[in-house]
Amino acid sequence: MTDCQEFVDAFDGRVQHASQNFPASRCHRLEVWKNERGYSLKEDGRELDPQADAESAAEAVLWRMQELSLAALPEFTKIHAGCASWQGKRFLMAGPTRAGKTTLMTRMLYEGFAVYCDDIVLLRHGQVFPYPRRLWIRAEAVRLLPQIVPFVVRSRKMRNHFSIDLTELGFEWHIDGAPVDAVFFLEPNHGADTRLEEYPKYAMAQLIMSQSNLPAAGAHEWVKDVVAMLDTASSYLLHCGKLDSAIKAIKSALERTIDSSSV
Amino acid sequence: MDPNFCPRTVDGIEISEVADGYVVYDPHQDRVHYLNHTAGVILELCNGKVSAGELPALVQAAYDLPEPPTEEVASYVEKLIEERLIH
Repeated sequence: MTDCQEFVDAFDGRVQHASQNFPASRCHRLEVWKNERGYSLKEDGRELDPQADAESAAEAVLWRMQELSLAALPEFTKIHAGCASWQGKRFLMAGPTRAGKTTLMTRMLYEGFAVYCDDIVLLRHGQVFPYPRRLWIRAEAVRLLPQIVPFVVRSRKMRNHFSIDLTELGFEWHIDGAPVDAVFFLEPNHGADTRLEEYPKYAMAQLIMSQSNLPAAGAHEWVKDVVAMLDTASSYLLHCGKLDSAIKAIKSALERTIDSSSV
Repeated sequence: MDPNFCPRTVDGIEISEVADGYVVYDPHQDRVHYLNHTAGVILELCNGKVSAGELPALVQAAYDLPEPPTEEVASYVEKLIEERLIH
């Protein structure tokens, strides 16, 4: 709830517009009121830190919404990974910060992939749920993604990044939970050739767990979730070089992937 | 290592098999271990009834090896003891 169009505009430039069918499990009231000192924020009647301007207020509200939504899902393992599909093969793209996940997944949009998220997925009982957020693209990566330049020039740069919603790029964006057919772990090899290797699942488990937070139920469930996911997925280490070669390697791997639905 | 020593998996550890190895959770130390297939097979053979002296021949049979991998198995067993997965 707010009384300020400036805040609404700033907020709309940050919120994601993915469609989903997940039932709401919790309800919160977030209020943003403009005053002579800036913006006051409340959550369920409780005062939050005030913000100096509409942009800061929008960012604070969005971060709080994300914290609340993830807190409502304590039973899920949260993995630092993107999720996409190509020709019916769904996959995870995990990797550390600055490995190039967002750049690669943005490029995938223009190579026939359906991209669901680029940063966080939730995992439970072998089902992967993409957590939708706007693409947060580094300014220096835009030169690798000429297709998005017309949209970037209309966007505002925030902390050396551009925030873009998939629907603004003209793509459909619907998310749901499903198993994955493949898991890739991204290691940066920027500017060089791409190399893809099949990777042992027990070792992939270690990589995935290094990029994830354990669920509230503890390490027992964490291990179960990750093992269940890997059980039905092919496992690859992707030394990601030039985007063209990376896309080719991923498609080639997915073509070889066993169709889990036919097992 | 005493060839008559019969190693035994520590009670309570949870062993999950994947296609090419094992992920093992030790709730006593709250640690997760990632074992290749050979280490996992050895772990599962440590049932308190199989002696350390018998393990190499069992691994040889499991993998159809020309000779029993005595040194490698001893190394794996020592590592599993060090990680407190067997005793």
